[in-house]
Amino acid sequence: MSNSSTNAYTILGVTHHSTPAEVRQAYLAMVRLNPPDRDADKFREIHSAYQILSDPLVQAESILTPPREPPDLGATIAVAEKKRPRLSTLALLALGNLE
Amino acid sequence: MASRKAKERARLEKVLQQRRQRQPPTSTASVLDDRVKLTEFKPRPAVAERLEDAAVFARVSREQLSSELQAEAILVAESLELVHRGSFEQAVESLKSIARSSPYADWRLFVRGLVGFYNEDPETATQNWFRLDRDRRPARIASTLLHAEMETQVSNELNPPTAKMIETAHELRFRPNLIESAKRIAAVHHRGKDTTFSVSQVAMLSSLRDRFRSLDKDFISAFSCDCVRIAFFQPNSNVFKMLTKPIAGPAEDPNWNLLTFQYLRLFQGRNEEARKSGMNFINSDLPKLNHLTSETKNALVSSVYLVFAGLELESSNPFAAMGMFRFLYDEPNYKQAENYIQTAIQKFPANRNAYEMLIDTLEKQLNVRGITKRGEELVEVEIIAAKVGLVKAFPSEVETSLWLIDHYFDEERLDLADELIKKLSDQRLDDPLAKALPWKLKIREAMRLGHRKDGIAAANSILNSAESIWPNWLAKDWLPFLKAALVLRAGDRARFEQLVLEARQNCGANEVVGNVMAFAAMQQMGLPSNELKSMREIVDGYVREAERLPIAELCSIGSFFWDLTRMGLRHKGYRIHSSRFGKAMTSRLKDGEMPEMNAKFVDTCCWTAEHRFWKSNYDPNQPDWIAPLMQSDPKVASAVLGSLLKERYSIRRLTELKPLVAMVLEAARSEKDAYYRFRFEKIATDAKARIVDYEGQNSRTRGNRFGSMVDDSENEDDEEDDCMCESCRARRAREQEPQAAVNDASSASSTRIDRPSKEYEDDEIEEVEDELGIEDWENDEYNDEDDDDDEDEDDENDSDGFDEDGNAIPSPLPPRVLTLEEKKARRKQLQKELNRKLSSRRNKGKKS
Repeated sequence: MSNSSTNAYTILGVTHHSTPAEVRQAYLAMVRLNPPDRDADKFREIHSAYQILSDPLVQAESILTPPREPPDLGATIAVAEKKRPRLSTLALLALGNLE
Repeated sequence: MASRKAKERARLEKVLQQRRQRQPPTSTASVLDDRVKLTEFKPRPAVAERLEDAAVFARVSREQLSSELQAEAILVAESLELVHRGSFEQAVESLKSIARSSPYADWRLFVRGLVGFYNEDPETATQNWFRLDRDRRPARIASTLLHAEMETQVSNELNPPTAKMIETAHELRFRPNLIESAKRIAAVHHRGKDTTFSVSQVAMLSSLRDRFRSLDKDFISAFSCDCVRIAFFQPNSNVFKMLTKPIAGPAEDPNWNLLTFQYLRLFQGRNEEARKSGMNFINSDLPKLNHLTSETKNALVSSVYLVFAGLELESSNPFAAMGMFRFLYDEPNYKQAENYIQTAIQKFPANRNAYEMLIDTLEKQLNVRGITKRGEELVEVEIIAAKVGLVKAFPSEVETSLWLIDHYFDEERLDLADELIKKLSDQRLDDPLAKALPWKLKIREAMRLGHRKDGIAAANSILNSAESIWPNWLAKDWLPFLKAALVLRAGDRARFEQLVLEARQNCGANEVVGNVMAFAAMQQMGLPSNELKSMREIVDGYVREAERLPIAELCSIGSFFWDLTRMGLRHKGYRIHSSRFGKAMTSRLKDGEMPEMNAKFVDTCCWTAEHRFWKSNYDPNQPDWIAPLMQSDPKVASAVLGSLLKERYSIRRLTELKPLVAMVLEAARSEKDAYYRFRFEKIATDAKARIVDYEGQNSRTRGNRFGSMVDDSENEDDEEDDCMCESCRARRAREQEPQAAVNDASSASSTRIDRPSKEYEDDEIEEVEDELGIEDWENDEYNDEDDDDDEDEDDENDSDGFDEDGNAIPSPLPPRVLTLEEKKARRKQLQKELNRKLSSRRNKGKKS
């Protein structure tokens, strides 16, 4: 993967495993935070990063590139501990059962 | 072989089955889990419950309501589903139509509070929830959630739930059992240095997935995918397969075909399997990935085909990357690789990598052993076609365009060159060489016209117009010599000699340098050989005497040749002279002769570095004399880096020269000469990218490339089951005993052969054994029982293949390890040979 695309991932705060939809979401969020009238340079940087990552070939490379190092299971667990799941509708409704 | 594998697999599955059946250690969390029975946890209408509340989940109750209320009940159920999916705004919006007076107004409040609760905004949650009717289901759910989450009595405004219900809510939200089980999997310690995910972890993960599937699908999916990616880093394809089979992959690789493809290609000899997985991805998975655009899909197919080509090009020679021992190994299947690359281009024509790979593959074919002249010509035609394709697909591709323009100049296809030059000039490029192309076109045109007598006048006028657009970064010293050559072409020798003398005086060149420059101009202007002859003899004389010429003169000659190199105007016939001067110069510098440090010497250094005149098969590195110069002068440094960039096997040396890259990049900022400014930046950027790429590849492939390693699929027992407690150790011993006995028995019967001692005398047998080179039938080479020990020993001695600085060190040729089948065949052959020899001896003895 080229340096420019590596930087683009960093600028948009996504990983090379992020889906195109996630990249777009991150781009929109960044633009919302850095609109062109506030910081034109930053906006330009974000926009060019998005253009790089919207390139079909860069997207294909990111899908094709295998992981570079083993993921940290501890980190995945820590995220799960912090982010509690939404209950399924049935489970939620069952919390109102009278015993 | 097959039966042994099948037996091994059956045994492994049995062990796994036993492990799965084994109860997990008891903990408070697991007790809770059993009691809660989450899968059976469903809403049940209470006896006195309001029909409207029960109607949200029970169809029987709903049917008893008016149609209006039924519609609202459905709205509430749908809204709750939207909240579950994370569409909060939509969920709140969908309930706006419910009137305040409606019995479902409470549910509207509840949903608003629930959204606040999930958004970690307790204020919104409590504001809405404290307005709920205490005796209805929404209030009971809200109360349970608040108690479970905040672990304290929140308010008396909602009825407190039972302890069991709080426990259930806690289990659903905090998932202590699930987290605990996941932590246990993550904490497994591996004894094998190559193990990243053991068989016991696979069993634990399988149990976790079975038990908690309904609890938190997102986490279980993310966790399982991570486990697969961890298993990707170990050479044990069985574990990898065990994981990928039941676990769904991520959206872009739902069946793990792509990862399997990347995984299997890491093993030596499994390229075909890898390719099959890649094709499965292209044919079965990719058409179903609706979230990808068709362009991305085509780009993906193109990239996969390029990897196929890479597999085809991968040599069986472990030293191929260093350019060594090529004569010992088969050449890769270039044609097949070319087909894959062409398919990649066809699928996605904007794939620059594909063109570059095609050109590289074709260039490699020029070095194939035994290639004929005709073969070379054909490959060269293909290279030109590939470069034309690249320039067509990427009109901004300067380097290849310049190459093609030079090629068209050489072939005198000025129309094609002109077309390309126009395309390049439209692009306002920074490259000074690209900017100077109109000038170069004029010079080439003048040279072409100079070949004919009737074109001399036109050639002269074109040279004059070229003078007006002469690049700033290039000295005009050679121009008067070119004009003088045209005069000679017209037949005026006296005037020619006069002009050469003037030209020499103007540029301060002595006789030797002047004659060299004049000869180059005469060659370029296409003077007939009889007119060239006298000057050729003079220059040939200089070449012969190069060892004795004053070194300052050699520097001036070097400086002139450097200009010719920069312009790309070196005449084909002059290359021999140039390289001889270059070699003489480097040899004298090597012997310690050092000229005065000036611009001409720096030019000479650039010239010698660019052409690597010092290079020999025994010493591919830079000579000692240039080392201090390249440390102090960015021009020399850039020339050395530039020459290394052109070399295929120079990446290690390039990595060593990292500080030079930084120096050249820094010099680009302050350099005033446009040519050098651009050159510095380009060379430094290219070198940096190549080093980063190499280091990235290194970090990716170290410990990840399984080519030299054995697939550990059959050694899983060594890796798994890491608990060292007494009971586990005892159990392992019990498990291993019968297996060891079975192994001993089966190996003894299937792999060993009897020494033919019955029919023949011992002495006789030993004699024949000596003849056949068999020292001992128990020798490891012929028996596989000790193979594991050997592997362990190899592992211990195995270095990671890199020196202290992280550079790859060439390892000795890997020992040839016989496969089981080969060992059996070898044994059989030896047995046969032994029997044959013994029986022929016996027969001979009888006859005599």
